[in-house]
Amino acid sequence: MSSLSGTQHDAGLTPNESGRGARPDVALIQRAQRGDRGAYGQIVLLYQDRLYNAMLRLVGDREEARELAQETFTRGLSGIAGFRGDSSPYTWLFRIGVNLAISQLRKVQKQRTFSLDSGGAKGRTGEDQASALLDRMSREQSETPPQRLERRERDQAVLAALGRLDAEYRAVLVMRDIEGFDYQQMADVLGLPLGTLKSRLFRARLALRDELRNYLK
Amino acid sequence: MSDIQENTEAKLAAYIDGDLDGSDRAEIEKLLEQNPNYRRVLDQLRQTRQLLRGLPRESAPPELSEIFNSQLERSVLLDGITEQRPRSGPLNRWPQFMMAAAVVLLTVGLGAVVYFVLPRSRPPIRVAENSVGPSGGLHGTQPTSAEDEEEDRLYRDSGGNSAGEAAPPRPAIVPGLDVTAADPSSEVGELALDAYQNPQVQSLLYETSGANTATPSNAENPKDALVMVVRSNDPQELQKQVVAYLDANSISWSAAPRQVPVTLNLTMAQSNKDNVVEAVSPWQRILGSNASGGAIQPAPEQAQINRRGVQLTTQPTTREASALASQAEVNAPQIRQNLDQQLAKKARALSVNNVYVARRLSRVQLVELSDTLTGKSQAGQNQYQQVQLENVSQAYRYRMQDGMAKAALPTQATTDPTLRQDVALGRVNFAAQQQVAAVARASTEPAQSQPSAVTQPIQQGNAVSFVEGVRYFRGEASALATTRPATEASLMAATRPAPTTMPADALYLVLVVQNEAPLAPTTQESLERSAQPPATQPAPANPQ
Repeated sequence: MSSLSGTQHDAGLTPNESGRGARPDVALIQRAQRGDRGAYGQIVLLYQDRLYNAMLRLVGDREEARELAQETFTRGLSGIAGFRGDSSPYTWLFRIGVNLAISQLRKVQKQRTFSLDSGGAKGRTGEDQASALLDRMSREQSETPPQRLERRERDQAVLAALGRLDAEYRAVLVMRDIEGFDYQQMADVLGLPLGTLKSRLFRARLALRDELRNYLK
Repeated sequence: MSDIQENTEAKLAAYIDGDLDGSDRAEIEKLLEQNPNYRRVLDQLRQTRQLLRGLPRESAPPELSEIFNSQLERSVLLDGITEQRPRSGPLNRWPQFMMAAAVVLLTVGLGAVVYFVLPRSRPPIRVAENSVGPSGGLHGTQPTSAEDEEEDRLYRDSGGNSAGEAAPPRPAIVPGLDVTAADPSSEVGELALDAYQNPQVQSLLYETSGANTATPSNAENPKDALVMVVRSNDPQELQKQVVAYLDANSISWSAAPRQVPVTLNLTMAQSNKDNVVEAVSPWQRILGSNASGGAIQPAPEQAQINRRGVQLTTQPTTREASALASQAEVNAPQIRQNLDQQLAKKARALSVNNVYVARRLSRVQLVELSDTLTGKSQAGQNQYQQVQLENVSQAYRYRMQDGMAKAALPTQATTDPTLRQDVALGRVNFAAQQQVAAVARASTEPAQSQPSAVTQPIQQGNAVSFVEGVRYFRGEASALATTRPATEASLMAATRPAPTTMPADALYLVLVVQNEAPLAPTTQESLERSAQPPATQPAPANPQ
């Protein structure tokens, strides 16, 4: 089953980045539609980090985020015949994921604590740990220890504030400001008219601002 | 959401993202020049966006792809086995037929048992004993006032039961629900209450929430139902808007049959003269003649409604008519008042075009839906009852502010008119929760607790029910009676969840559509609203 594994460097690509020439994600999903499951395995590798991060910011819990991402990929595979290419493969997968996440948030009404503390060191491969470390180092290189502490505290507050928002607000904020979706993609994913979507985004930002007053000038 | 408001907010969102140009951009910038506060709001929103963008990105745990790939491999292998499986010969279908026949037989048998053996009728509300919150009071489960008891008596006496038969259980209301969050005695408040208490509406709420068992789970208990009353001069258009919104957001909903089929007397119903004025006459004849000491006459065929909107048709015997007459003599004014209330209820019921029950809305959706309802419709405008909207948005805003720490709220609430209004609008729920939480904290951490205002009227170590809290905040009680011995668990059980644990979703909505007209915010209003500090938040005047 070696065909199921993909190359690690692919995983960092976004659809836009891979958009030069024939989009590899589209080619992969077309192959997957023809029954090549290895191609779908590569799709998983390609998007797992991005999708997992988005799910994590939506639900705040690593285990839940992992399960949601996994369920998203599983549902994507079972419904792959329904992918018509109207949107990018990632948008299509994200739509499945965000609906699952919102439904999960409604179902499990527990208090959610969003945290920066990584629970993920356990079981990480050396390569993953190294890339995470590099990522963190590059971010922290230019910071003094107090600045680092301050940023960490601020990030923690942002996550906590995000966790206090309603699912719909959280979804639009994650899609726009973390995932970088454009308005049309967001409207497609959420099934909302553009005006309603933008209005919801404005309100979500207001809500987040109210939560974060202490950190704003 | 009204078109104007939605457009305005959409433009502001696009402006923040730098996606707005042309005259729209110029309009906003002109406003920003005029008012620096607006600029500060938009700056803060941009900062918020930056904070989100600055969050670290996390990688997926390795087991994600491992597990998924192993699933994939397994499915590939299983498919291979399936493909290689030799085709069997002609199938023997008899076992399948037998199995299907057995299933059909079992189904029919069960159906017969259900139809012939089990009782055919059931109480209109099936969770009467299932009180999880405080009993009685504002939204109570049991009759608490003389009026309630009178209605209860009428319900029992005229419920269509033969003599000696046990009266059906009185329909209960879910405890802790702000049915009429604005003013229970206002016209809209009463209409909201009528609609919510309508057995058919209750049935829709419970059936779909899985609460038709004896103990519905808290998560499924529609105690957060909210009644909205919308007046529109174009109900058809309004209906389209509502249905479109609910469908677009995958919110399950049902259209309840038109609000309460109230009939005051049978004669009137048969002649199809659904007229309130005419409906008075039979009652007035009975009550008027008997109250004035006239001879007892056989009572005409009549019907009553109880406060749940159930039509109670009965043919009183002479003895019952006599009892009614005696009662009328003793207390004719009260009975007339009762009659007036029934007539008013009928008038309200007749003004209703439709009632919807929607389930599991988030608060965001609720606010958006209510905004939708304020918007222009094709042929006119809808007039949404602002008080109800305020309740939702204030509650939401209040929760966002995490404003429960405002210890001064309880004391100010008795004097500050704005706060009193907040209390009437439903924020008292949270304040009461906060009080209880504060007391709980104080009782468990005496060394660290602060003798704030919240501890003053409530004795430490004792709980206060939500209803008592409401009475206190309304000035109807000078002090809060302590009720239960307290452990933290029992204290918290006595109230609704604290604001931070309040479910973000799963609100139930009863939407009542009436006839009538309008409002619409502008860009400036939107910005003003945003620029204001959290609405009506009291300065936390620390009483220490």
